[in-house]
Amino acid sequence: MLELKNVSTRYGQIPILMQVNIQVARGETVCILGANGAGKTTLLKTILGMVKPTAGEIYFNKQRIDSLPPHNIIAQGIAIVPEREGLFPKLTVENNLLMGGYYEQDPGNILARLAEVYQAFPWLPQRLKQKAGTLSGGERKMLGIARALLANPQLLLMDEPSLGLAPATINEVFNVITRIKRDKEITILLVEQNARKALLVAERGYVLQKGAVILEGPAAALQENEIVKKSYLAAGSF
Amino acid sequence: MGNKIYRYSLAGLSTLGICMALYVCLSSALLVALIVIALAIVILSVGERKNVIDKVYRLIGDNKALNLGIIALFILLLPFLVQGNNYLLHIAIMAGIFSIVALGLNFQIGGIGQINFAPAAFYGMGAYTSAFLSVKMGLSPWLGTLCGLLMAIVLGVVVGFPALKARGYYLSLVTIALQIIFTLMIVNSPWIGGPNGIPGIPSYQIGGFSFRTPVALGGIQLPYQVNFLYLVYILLALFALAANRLYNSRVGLAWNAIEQDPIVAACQGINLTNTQLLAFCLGAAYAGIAGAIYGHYTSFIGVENFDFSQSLIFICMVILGGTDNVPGVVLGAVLLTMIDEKLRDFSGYRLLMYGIVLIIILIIRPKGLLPKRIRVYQQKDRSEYSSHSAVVTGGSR
Amino acid sequence: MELIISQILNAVMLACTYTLVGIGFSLFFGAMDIVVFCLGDVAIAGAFAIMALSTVMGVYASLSGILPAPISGIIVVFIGACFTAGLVTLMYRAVIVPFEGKNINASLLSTIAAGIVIRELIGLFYPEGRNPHAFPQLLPAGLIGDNVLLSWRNIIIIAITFIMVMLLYWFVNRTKTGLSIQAISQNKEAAIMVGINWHRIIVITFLIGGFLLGIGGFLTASYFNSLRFDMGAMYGLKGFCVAVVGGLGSIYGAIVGGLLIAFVEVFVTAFIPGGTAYSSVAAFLIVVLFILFKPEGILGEKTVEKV
Repeated sequence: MLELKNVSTRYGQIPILMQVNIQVARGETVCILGANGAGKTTLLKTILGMVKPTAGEIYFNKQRIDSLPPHNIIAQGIAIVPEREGLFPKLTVENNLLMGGYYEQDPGNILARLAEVYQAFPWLPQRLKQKAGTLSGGERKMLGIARALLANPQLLLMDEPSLGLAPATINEVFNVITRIKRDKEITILLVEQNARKALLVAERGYVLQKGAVILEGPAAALQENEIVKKSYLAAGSF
Repeated sequence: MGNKIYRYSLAGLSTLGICMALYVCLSSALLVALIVIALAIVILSVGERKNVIDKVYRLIGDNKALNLGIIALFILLLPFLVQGNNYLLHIAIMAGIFSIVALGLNFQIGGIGQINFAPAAFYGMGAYTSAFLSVKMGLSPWLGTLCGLLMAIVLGVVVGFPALKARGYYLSLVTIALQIIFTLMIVNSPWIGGPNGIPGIPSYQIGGFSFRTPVALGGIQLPYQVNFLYLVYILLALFALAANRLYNSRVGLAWNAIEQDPIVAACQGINLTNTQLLAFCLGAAYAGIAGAIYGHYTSFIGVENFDFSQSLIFICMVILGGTDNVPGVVLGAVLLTMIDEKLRDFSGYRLLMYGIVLIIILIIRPKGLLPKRIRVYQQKDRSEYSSHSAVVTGGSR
Repeated sequence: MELIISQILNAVMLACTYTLVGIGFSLFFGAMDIVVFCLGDVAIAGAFAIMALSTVMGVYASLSGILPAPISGIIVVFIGACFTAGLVTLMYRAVIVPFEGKNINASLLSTIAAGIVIRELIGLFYPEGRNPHAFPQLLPAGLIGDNVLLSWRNIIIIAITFIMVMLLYWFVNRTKTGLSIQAISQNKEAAIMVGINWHRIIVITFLIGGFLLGIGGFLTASYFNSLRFDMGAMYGLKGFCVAVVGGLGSIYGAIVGGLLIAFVEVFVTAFIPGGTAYSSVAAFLIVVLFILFKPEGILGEKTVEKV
């Protein structure tokens, strides 16, 4: 469904991604592991067209997308749960949600999806009129996920859903991800530092180091891999 | 040895070339001046792409004494070159005065990266204080100039104080507001002439010699402008050298650090309050002296010489010449003064030209004609073949 | 008492003329984090366009031959406002886009320079451009009651401002495009990530802001009954002051700021002997004080400087 072929990017003179090859098949959950500065967020921005690759090709549903502007790429059915503050703090929770359905023309579909989302996040309906900026960190993350679901995407990108959250909240977030996987026919590309959690929900994984893919394979195999064990599963991460 | 003489003469020639180009601009018609400037821009752009400009810079820098001598000689001979034409000398004097103001303004724009829209207020403060004291109080113009300088510094603190709290758009609004308040206050103060200005400002005197008497030098009768020409350019030389020293000193570096990021600068131990106020006060001092001299030179000052559009012209000078680069700022001031004077016949188009020039410069050459150089720190006792030039020129040992 | 009431009315009128240009500053600052200094000149250029349509070009006269006077007036003002919408979008392309993402000083200077260019072009190329012009009265002049200030013209100026602000409020809070403008102003990156066509929304913002500016220019010229090519400089500066006092980026702030500045000016003029000359001084001093001690303005939200 999504395919990156030899994608390289740079900010000015500094190379960020080097010849990255990644494939995501329909219905799959794929995680990309990497430390700070490995180029994880840049990778997602490159897929969305916010950073233009200097070399390589990106295909979505067999269509080449790497030269399109972000809004055209997103309109094809990709949504992202951004890292940290991806919300509009002064808009209400409701308006934040509705921004997720930016490309849906049919109000009936939006209502149906809203109902679905309210079911998944029962606390949401009571908070609709509240400004998004007043939510707690965990709630914001959930709202970010809910907003992305409102787009009813074919491919859901998630940028470090565990970042900056308390352990209990991280568990909650990953429970939500598991539920989404179970209930919806959705493809997920998950970018994480928290390898233990990510490898539990994902079927396959890639390890990104200094802008290059150094390892790839099924999640179970990665869990047993020495490099992954040493760098990402060592004591201290949970 | 031959190499050395070659470099020496090359440096002299390039300085001489610059002087002659400026002279041609000064003495010829508008069209010729514009062609010379366009040519200079082309040469600069091409030269930069081929790294020639850097070499010229180093040549000039390595032979400072020679080049300063040539420039001094050029100024000294200028009255004879223009054959005592007092209009051309007037342009040269104004170029010198504006250069001093622009150098002062550059401490704010180039140094701490804050655009001060009130340099004309500093300039006017110096002019009005000195003129008022010497006309109404009968104070000596020399003392008046000193008082003008002090009052300008006071105004510098007034304008500089907000700069400690506000940056960017907010500071620009504050300085614009203060500039407009300044002109409004002058227009509404009858005791300093209000909208009519102050006429009859006395001139400087040394002993019994008034600066407004023509002089005979070398058998040629020269207009009184010559006195002011030498006075202004001696001061300009002093101020330019001081500005250059400042740029290369810890203060210049601290200013640039604040420009980049005030919080980080403060974390490095830079005293934000003192350092930023210094940029404003020094700039105000430069402008204050220039204003006072302007008043005593022209014998008349009016509010239209110190209004917001004059401030914009000063800003244009700094941006056009090259922010934070002393030769650049002076070049910008000299060029714009000459073009401005030559546009007298088309005075209706004057402001339009400034607007368009500013936009074009900002788009095609945002760093100005002579962009800022990278600071080079060298040991004081460097010999002729210093490590620096040896490294850069590929070793002439 | 009579005097105070008429001065209050006067201040409200002045506030109306300031508010629309103040909203323009806030709108563009909100959307792009940029202060467009030529807005006053753009607004006055719009007033000149309306004047040209109704005098030199004779559009108003020929329209009122076929249509009732109010409708032809509305059409002429509408065309003028569309002109400013186009002009401000042109400014966006010419002097803002080249400096996107660079040091703010560059865009600040370029927009100031653009203001000068607009101003000088009017002065040079409008017939008799450098002389003051009497602005054609498109608004009815009749009095209501016996107070000189309580005229239909003044009531309509207040009403138009009110309607414009309401329309803008509705647009920004109730339409998808308006919400997108807010989204961009709050979090540009996230706005792009939900698929908002950033560039298109910015152009729409400039069109809308430009339209409001045109109306603002028209109201100002109608209020003062005269038009000068260089009015825009001061008008724009006052608009920026109004936006800053109210809270840059806040639409209501522009209204509150407009009222404050207008009241200060009118009351200094009316009640301080010799105050006429110092009304602008007082207004600017207030702004300087606000920037020093309450830079977020009356309704703006406090922002913590990012490290």
